[in-house]
Amino acid sequence: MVGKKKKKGSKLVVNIVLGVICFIWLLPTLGLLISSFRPATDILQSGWWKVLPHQEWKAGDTIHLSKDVDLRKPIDVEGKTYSDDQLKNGVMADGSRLIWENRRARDISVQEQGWVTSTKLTTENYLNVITGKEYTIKNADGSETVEKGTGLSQAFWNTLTIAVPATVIPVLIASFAAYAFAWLRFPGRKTLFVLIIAMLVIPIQVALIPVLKDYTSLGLNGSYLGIWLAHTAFGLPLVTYFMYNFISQLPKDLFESAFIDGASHFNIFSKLILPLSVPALASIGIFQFLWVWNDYLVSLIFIGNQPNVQVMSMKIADLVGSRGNDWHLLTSAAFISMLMPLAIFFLLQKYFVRGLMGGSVKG
Amino acid sequence: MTILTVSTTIIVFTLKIFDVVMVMTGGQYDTEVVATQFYRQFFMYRNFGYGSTLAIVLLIAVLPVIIINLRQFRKQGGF
Repeated sequence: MVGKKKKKGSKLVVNIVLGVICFIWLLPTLGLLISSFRPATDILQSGWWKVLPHQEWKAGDTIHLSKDVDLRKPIDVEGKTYSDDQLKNGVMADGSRLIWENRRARDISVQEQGWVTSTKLTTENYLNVITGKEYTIKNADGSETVEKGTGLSQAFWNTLTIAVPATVIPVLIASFAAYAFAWLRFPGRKTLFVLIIAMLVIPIQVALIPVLKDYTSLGLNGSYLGIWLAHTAFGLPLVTYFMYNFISQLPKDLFESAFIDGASHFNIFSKLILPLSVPALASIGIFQFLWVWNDYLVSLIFIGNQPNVQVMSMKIADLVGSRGNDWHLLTSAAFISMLMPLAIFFLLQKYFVRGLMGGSVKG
Repeated sequence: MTILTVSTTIIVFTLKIFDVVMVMTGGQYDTEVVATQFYRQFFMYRNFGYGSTLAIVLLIAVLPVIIINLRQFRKQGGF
């Protein structure tokens, strides 16, 4: 009985610790969500935590001193004397704070602590991000024209067009390669595998300039095919390594029995290995999709910023404006860009928990 | 077994980290990493030889991790 109680207690502690860790982890995202709903001026002036009720100095009465009070001498306010510097920083007097409201007109504001929240919430940021921000231009003859910029809609479809093949192609090629490395015997197998894993190490910047030179001579710059190839190339080492780890753990007897029954390698691959490795395919697929979706560097270099091919990460960076003047739009843009990977993640959830072997090997 | 895979991947990725360091400190204040130094030498100072050497050093630094990993594979009979 005592043992059972101890188990329950430790479970509760573990859950609480996990809950605290999750909360700390989610706090910045929560702040970003709240910020994305605040008007632009609020975002620029105060942090998102001001939305919660907090104590601030609220202005109450104003004390008008006579206009000829000398600031260099101690100033007399309702019987007590303060110096000019004290009034500049705010001085406490019977629970309220005295601070200059208008120094030239010699007005002092009496402030009290009060609970206040800044609850102005608006969806303006989201509208600006999705459909484009309106801005007014003054023409040469003095009249104003209102024009609309572009939003994220086109960039969203571009990114989707890039991300889906750039996920499917590497995962497919890597599964073929992983099966070959795991279960086929051919000369140079080990060296080749070490070589491929060694490619994991290469920072992308190393390969940028040579690949770019080749792309320009081939004419692949700024085209979808070029960036599919680039993402495939940069993603293959990791995906191969991951799939190899998984496929090498499948039981050998399964394939040997299929081999004896006369199945070709391709049959074994498509009918046995692929269905069995669905959890691994789903995990690495999500990983690769997320990487391609969020990617800025490879798209910047290989596909550029033509509006018909520009990706979302680049478009979001452009939303900020040429002088960083609209950075409040980043908050809502971040959330819109987050939706698709989240959707994919939840859609593929069921493939994660599918039973590994599914009862295929008995005994 | 999965722990080995994940730790290898993370170790390799951390050894080549670039963007976080570049954005946060730009490699100043004693926070240089191999990748930021590579970027500086190759693209800014145009020391192509120095930059290429740094990339090879990174490769060599990763080799022990990969070798340990492959030895584990062999032990488990997969290689």
